[in-house]
Amino acid sequence: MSLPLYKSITKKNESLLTYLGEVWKSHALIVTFAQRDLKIQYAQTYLGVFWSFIQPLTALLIFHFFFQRVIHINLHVPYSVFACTGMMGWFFFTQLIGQSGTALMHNQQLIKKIQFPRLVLPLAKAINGLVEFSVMLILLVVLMLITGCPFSAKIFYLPLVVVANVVVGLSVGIWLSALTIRFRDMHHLIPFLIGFGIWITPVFYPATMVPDNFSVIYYFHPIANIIALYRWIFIGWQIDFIQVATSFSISVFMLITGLIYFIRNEKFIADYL
Amino acid sequence: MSEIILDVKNVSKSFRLHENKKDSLKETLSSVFSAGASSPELFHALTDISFSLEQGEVLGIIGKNGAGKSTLLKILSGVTFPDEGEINFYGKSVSVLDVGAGFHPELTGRENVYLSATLYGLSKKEIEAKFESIVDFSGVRAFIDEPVKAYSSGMYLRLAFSVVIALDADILMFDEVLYFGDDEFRFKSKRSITELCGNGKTIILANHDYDFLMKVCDRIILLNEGKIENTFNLKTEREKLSDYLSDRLDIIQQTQAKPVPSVYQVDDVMKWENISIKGIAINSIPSEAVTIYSDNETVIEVEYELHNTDVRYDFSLMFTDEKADIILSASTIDPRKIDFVQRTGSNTMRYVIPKNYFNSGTLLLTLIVIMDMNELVVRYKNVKKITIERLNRSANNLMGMQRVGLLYADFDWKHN
Repeated sequence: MSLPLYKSITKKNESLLTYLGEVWKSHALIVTFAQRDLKIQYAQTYLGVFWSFIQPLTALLIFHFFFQRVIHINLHVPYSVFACTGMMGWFFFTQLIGQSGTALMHNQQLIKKIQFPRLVLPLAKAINGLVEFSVMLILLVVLMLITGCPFSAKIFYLPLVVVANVVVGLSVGIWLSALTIRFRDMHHLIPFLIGFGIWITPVFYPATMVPDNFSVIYYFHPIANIIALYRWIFIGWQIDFIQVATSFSISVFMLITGLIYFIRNEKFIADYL
Repeated sequence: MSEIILDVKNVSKSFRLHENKKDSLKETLSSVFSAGASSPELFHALTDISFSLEQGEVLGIIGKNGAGKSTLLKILSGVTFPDEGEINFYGKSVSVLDVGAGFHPELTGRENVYLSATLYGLSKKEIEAKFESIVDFSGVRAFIDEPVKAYSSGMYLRLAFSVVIALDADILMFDEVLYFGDDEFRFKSKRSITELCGNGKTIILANHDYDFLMKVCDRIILLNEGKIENTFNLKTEREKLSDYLSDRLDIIQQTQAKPVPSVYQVDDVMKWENISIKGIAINSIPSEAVTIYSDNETVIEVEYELHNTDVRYDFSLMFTDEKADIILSASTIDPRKIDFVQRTGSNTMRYVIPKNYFNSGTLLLTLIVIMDMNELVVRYKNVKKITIERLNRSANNLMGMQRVGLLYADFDWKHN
């Protein structure tokens, strides 16, 4: 037998690093999936990519009406800029958990017919999320220019915060995507998380409005801290670095354990679908 | 002696029969908390499967439905994994469990080629290099920038199959894919597989087309209830296999009662080299099921291409009802009927049925192509399903009497 071994199939799971190496090799596939989903999303729509602007703009108008006209919050910054920073982090997060969480379910036919690292599917959704995130970012910059908000040099930290946002989103999204395959109950959990999560997250109200004895939850609320970081960058609000580091560590832990759980189930995903 | 390219060692797989019920969180939680929960019932899909393939060998896997053919192919494809055992590949493999897996209807042919080839692991550069040959093979160049949802099923499958051929894998595995698409596509894919077989590719075919397997395979594995019941080397044991299967008619019968998704089938394709039928259309509609209106003329067009004009090709049409009784037949062979000149390249034969000849009902059309006035080249059985209706429904009612019968011919009446 002088032919070199090309590949071997056993039920043994790859190590986390070997698996991530394979996913890296499939990076072209991640991009292709992301492109596919974007094209499909806007196929045969007249307004195309403008739909991505319409949704956050509508949300912004509603928040503006309630928190400036009905309830008066005084923030010392334009409310629209404030709300936009919150929505940026929150929408990206929900996109990551909603889309990544259901990515495997929505590609069942593919999973049953072709072999490829399954993690590619939730990751492709994360790239898609970045597109909508960019839309929010453009919206924010426009709002800041209109309202005359100053830009600070902290904007150079933005890429890091975006990466942290992805980590936080995927730490939940990857768990959900693997769990949904085994437990369809999770399918109901996702809209629940998104629907109620916005109320316990300082998206359209500032975290400082929450009474002190409740604010301890922000140590365990990763996305609240990501939003705090966006506000630190764009409107110069103070942050508690220990709190940010604590909650981010929790996310990193969740991401690693989520990946391990995903890999442990990866080989039998097709059997559960 | 060739070298081993695929080695399957003691592969077993079972499914938990009540897995689906465990899909809910409650079941799992309750089984965690109730000590000594009963172990789930197991279905042994595959038990201790071992075989190896040498480079260039063509293996056919046969067996009844549920014998484990598809599970084995799925494991070999890496879509699912064995509970026990090991499979070693000593070459690049590609498996086709479904032609067009990964295609998306909203995307164009071009985009789908890129998507599908990326899924099979090609890099962008490799795809660019192979793109032209993929499109050439598929024969859908004119539509390559149209969304594939606008393709006919034949075009769709041709494009998908072309991607697989272009992957240039050492080991190719096909699960039942020979039954998709139209005749020309099936003929083309069988011919491609036959070519691949001769080109030193190692091939595994799991399907029901027993005759085709007998033609191309070196070895046949007979699966039964997840186990290898027997293996036959077709070079030396062809007779033995036929004898063996004559006792096991259940397998052959099942392998021949194939579920053909398309309405028609070709009886013999091997002589079909000089002529290719490009399309059959009724009133310019190419689809398999056509509605015609008998108050209008009906034109049946057969578009075909000839590679040379050494021999004359004739066409016969047969219209049968749903009980397979022949209602009407016509042929160009009738010498006094027509004389026509066939040219190399594209030709079209038209058959015109005058208006007010049919009444209403359903007919199936069979097309037969005959070479040199006597040799049957190809028979497209039930190639079209024709629903006949009348536009002018009031004409249906003649003095309170319904027009009856499939035909209602307004031939000349003569009196005195």
